[in-house]
Amino acid sequence: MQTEPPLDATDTGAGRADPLTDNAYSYRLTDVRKSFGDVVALDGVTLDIAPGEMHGLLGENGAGKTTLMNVLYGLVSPDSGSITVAGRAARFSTPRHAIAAGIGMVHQHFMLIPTMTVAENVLLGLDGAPFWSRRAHIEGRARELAQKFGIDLDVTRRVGSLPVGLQQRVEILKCLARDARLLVLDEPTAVLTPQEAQELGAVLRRLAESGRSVVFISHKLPEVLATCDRATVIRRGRNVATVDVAEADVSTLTKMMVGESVAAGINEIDVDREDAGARAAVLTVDDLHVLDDRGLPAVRGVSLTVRVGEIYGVAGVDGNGQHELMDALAGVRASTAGATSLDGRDITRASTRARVQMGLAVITDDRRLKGLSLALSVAENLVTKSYRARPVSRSGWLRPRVTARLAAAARDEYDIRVDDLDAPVSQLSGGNQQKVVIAREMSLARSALIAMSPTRGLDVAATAYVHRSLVRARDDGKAVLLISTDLDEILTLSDRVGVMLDGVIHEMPQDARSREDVGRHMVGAGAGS
Amino acid sequence: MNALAPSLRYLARVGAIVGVVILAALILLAACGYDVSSCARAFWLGTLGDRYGRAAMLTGACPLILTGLAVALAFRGGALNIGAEGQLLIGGLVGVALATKSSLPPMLLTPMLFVAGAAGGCLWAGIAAGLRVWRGVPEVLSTILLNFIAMEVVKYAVTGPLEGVRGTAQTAEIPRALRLPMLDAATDLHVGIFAALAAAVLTYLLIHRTTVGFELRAVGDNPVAAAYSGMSPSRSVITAMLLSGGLAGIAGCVELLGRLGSLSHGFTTMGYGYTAIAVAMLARLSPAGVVASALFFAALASGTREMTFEPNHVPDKLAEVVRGLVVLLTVGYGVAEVRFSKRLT
Repeated sequence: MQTEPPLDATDTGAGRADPLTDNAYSYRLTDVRKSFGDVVALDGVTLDIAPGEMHGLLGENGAGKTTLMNVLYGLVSPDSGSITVAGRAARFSTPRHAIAAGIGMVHQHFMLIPTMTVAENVLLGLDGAPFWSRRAHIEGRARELAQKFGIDLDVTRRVGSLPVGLQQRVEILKCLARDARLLVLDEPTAVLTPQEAQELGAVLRRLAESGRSVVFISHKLPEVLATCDRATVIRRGRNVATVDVAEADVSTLTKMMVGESVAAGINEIDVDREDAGARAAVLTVDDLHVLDDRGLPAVRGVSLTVRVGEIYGVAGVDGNGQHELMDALAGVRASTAGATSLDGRDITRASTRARVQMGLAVITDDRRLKGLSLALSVAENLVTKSYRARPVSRSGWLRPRVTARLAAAARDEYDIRVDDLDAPVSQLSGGNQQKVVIAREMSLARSALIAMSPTRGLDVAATAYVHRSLVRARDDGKAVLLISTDLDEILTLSDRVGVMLDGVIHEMPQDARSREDVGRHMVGAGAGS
Repeated sequence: MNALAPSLRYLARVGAIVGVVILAALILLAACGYDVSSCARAFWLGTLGDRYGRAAMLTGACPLILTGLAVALAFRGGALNIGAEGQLLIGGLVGVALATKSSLPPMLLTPMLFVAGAAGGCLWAGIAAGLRVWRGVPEVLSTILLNFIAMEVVKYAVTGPLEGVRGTAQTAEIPRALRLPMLDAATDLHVGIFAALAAAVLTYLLIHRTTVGFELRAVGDNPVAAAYSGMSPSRSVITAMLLSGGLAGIAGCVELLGRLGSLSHGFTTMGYGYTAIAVAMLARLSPAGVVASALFFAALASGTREMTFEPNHVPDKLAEVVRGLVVLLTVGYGVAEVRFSKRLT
């Protein structure tokens, strides 16, 4: 044991003064290196976190942020480099050591048990409560903790019934219950509404003022600028700079993150909007109703029309029925009322396969879950929707040579970076995996293309690529329905914009589609509501 | 050809582990006071060393290849069929019933026996598939439970409606004309081994070269993505289970028509369908791998059995311990490797 546990983790009672003073810790990672096989993830990164500071960690996908934090949390052992906690050298071979040294991690995907209450989750493994009044005991303790840290939570609620923003608070409280001196949050606002993100910022600031440190990993520069004291930018596994946020601005930080050359190209997508009103309707949705997995109404009367050669953007905070809408349009979830038609033909009850054959392509969100079969090869993933027809197969027999030829052509056309098309698609980077999905769907999108959060988790260059592909589909005369929680994406690309809230889409008038207008509708503060 | 490199690497590692484990087994035998060199010699004779050893190994491999393919096929399609044993029993039972009760000419009857055996296995697997698709019962549970039911059904049949001579608790002998031709009259070796190899080739073609196999693999890997591609995961699971049950049913027929000649209570204790799971796992679900891994398991069985004879007299139980040790470590390694490689990607 190289670091002695700072405190008894179960001793979280009111006996100690709340603001940490004498036992606030500084954390320092020095010259950390880590390779996975031939891939160098970290090439000498140094990160210095002072007590009581909020420290932003910025970098593109694949820059090494997550690996760095996994090193700090004892999930990955570095090849070289050192960690010091409060000036003493430390080595974490498991998260248990890291937790004992006061590190708390809030992962992007929460590590909570949905069937348990907030109190049970917070004190999981720590309770030490007498068995005869366990519930009262742990609820009391959890309530005490929540009060002490100013986190507003009903500790008796089941975690599964809480909205995402509150689940995140449970995670934070769980770390605090283990006496975390350093909270690490990985993309904490990705799942939050702007309102929730602001509240999170306030909670974190309060914690920082009490002497705790926070590492805030994010892509979103404005958030980092608004909440953090300092920020460290890393690129390709190396430090670029650590800056005082008060002296930094968006453009310098962007340049640091992506390097000069790419930064210049970010906003170069040229979307010229012509008058689309007179064009033919391709995808028509009329008063569609869809239930979610629990059988509750999720889509509650959506009507929209996407015409030839336009991008219809649907903005909205995650969880307002977007997933169910996409599922219903893709044909994997039945609608309970309403109608959908494609090129004038009713497809309300058509199977997924029939929709594919009619020229409806879908770029799903979460490519690893819904878009790709990770164990299958790159070539095979390119034909998962066309394998039953010629030329990919003939009377039930696959034709591997034809598939290989088609795949090689797709690789060239879509610039998929892979040497061996027979290698499992899981070996590709996120951006290249998305290119596989795009290549497949573009070849099928004869009439319409639905894309949901197509750039989530991609770096700047890959994002620009996806955006160009969508615009190209539009320019080729396809009807494109873009559903995304990224407001900038919607506003940059769309010819028309709708906002999805509570299962209904409200179309924004052309003269009222500024960030503020759309944002207000997203949180339910639009003019009509 | 890049795709072959990882398999070779895997093979090399498994080979190394098998070597180490066999060494450990020999040390165990030495520790128990047996003559190691004589035991090793017996193991050699029981596997590759002589005509009888080779025949015993190949005869033992035959049902393991067929059931191993059955398990591998189901697992590939995302159906965790633990019930190859029950499907083998029912398939064998149906085949024997037809063979002993029907008076059709052998030319006609022989192909019918295999069709009937396959159908019996299909039926048994189909119950589990139906329960999974329409009732949400996990097939892992239902297939295990169906194994026990199949066992009791066989016991009932051989002491009741199918009993040959009263009191023998076995069916009548299958007529000579219906038995599988022998390859070596001095041993048990029958043509079933060719059927098993043919089945491996066909299974490979099915999985890798047909649209049905493509669906199986896609659904087995990621049913959600498969559904978004327009495939039907339910239908694919049913297909996988039925094909798997059919193969296991054929395995039962081949074993009875080739080696045993009549069905008795003893047939329910051989456990091919269970060993098949280890066979398929070690083979990492590849048909070619199943052949190799079934041969390995059969060699282990015939080799250790030879050790129990003159002059070594290693007790049965110790031979079983040796067998268990090898299985545990090799399959354990195979599973661990799969899990770790998943964690790293």
